[in-house]
Amino acid sequence: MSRDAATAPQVKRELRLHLQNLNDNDLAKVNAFLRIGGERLQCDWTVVFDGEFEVLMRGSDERGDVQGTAGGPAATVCLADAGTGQHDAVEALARPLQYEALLDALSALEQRIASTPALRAVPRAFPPDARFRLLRWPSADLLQGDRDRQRLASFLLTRLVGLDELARLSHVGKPQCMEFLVLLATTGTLDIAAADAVPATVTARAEPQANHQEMDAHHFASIRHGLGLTWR
Amino acid sequence: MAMTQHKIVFSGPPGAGKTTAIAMLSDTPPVVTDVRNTDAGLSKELTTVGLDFGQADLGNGQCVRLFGTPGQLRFDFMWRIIATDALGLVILLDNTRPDPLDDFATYLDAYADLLPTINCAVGIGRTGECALPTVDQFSSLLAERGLAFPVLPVDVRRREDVLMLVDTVLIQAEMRT
Amino acid sequence: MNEMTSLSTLTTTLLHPARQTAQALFAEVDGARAVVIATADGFDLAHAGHQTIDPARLAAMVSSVSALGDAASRETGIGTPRYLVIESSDGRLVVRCMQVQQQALVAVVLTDKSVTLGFVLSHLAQAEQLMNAA
Repeated sequence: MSRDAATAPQVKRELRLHLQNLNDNDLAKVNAFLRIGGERLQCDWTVVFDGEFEVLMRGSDERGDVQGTAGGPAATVCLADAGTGQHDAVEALARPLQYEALLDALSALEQRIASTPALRAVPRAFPPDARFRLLRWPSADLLQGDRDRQRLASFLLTRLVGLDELARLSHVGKPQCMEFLVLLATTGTLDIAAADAVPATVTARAEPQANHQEMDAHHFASIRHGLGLTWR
Repeated sequence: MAMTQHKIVFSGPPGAGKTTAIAMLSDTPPVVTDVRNTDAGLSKELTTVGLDFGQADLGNGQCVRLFGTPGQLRFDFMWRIIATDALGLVILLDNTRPDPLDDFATYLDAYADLLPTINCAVGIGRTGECALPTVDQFSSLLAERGLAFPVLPVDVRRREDVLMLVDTVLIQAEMRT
Repeated sequence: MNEMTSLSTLTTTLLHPARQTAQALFAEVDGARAVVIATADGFDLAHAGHQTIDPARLAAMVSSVSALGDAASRETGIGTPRYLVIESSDGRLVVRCMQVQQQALVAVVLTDKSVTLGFVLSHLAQAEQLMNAA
């Protein structure tokens, strides 16, 4: 049975465009072009000046430090005067900024961001002894059918859990756990709490209907062993 | 020695693979209550009207009892009965049905009282034959109701896929101890 | 999940005999409150009686009960079930598993506790014979 893709609801992903060192004219053009051409783009673009973002657009004269990122921006568009040399940017646009050029560049970046998980905004460093909990099941793009990621996500569903505990229970190495947590943090679906804090956003699950709480790790290990569940 | 028994329930619309999933894990051929289907709108020769039952002996005095619910809506009274005191619930869906998201909503409504307390996983079958709705759309439906459960594309004819669903249920249960 | 159903052709031919049988059972069994005749997969074909019930839900329930009885009978090697009786504090449900014109049906009579069980069983057996003869 085939499905009509056009009838499926279209949910646009949000991408943040950080603007740095652009003059007033460039700023006005970027905002105007996004407003006019938004329907053409696959994602909803929002202009930001601080905080986390996926794409940096900067004037060609400045590199500078960009607040709120670790390790550099996810992707960069450089706006340079026509005739100047190219910079080490992913995309370079010439002034005066043209409508079609901007939309083409953003569209290309949308494709790259969607296909390259590393090209995403990296969140600020987690607080020490941070604990994590997922607010919703991650997207298929993020999980990529990876069994470890699916299991890690499952461990993050019911309550806050720290990195050490996550690695211990899942038998997945800490670096891999951290990489996954960082990815989850970029989606805005990961609740992050300092140690001992109970964030107001967390909705604790009610007590289970049956008294399964007396089961311990040994019980679950033996259930998994009995069923032949041997991920590690 | 007293046997420690755990119950996992497989639910979902007709043809989603509940009986098959149980057979993948059961030590012996499952008990089935299939009768001849008289509904011309359902393209199946047989249909479950009671429950499916299988059992996996884990050794060390533990076993997992596997129950499957009947799929049709008129047997919804069985869904709640069977799911009572279950360690976990697996909702299996068939992406080739006319409206899988509506199917999913039906089961979310039926189990609404249990879902805040039960460990649950969702398996979407036959996504290779029918890519829409996407797995993410099922997750979104859960999110709209303030719920978050594993949602995985599965082929219930593959034991490792069924085991993955069960593992995510066990993980949730483990995290609540 | 929409359950607009269309019964198979074979089943629809049983509708008229089922209605007659339901009405006859209700008339003949003193103390009967309701009668439902259903397909084995839980669709109500006919019902009669003075107690307000949901025949569709009762049909589904007794088909489940019948199927579980069949599973238990197979499990224990005692053949196929004929009757199931649910004796409750304020009444009784007597279920007959029937084969009518190669179709598995389930008939249930809801009665007061004062009704003699054998009387009900006998009428249900006769009902099956009459439906097969129709």
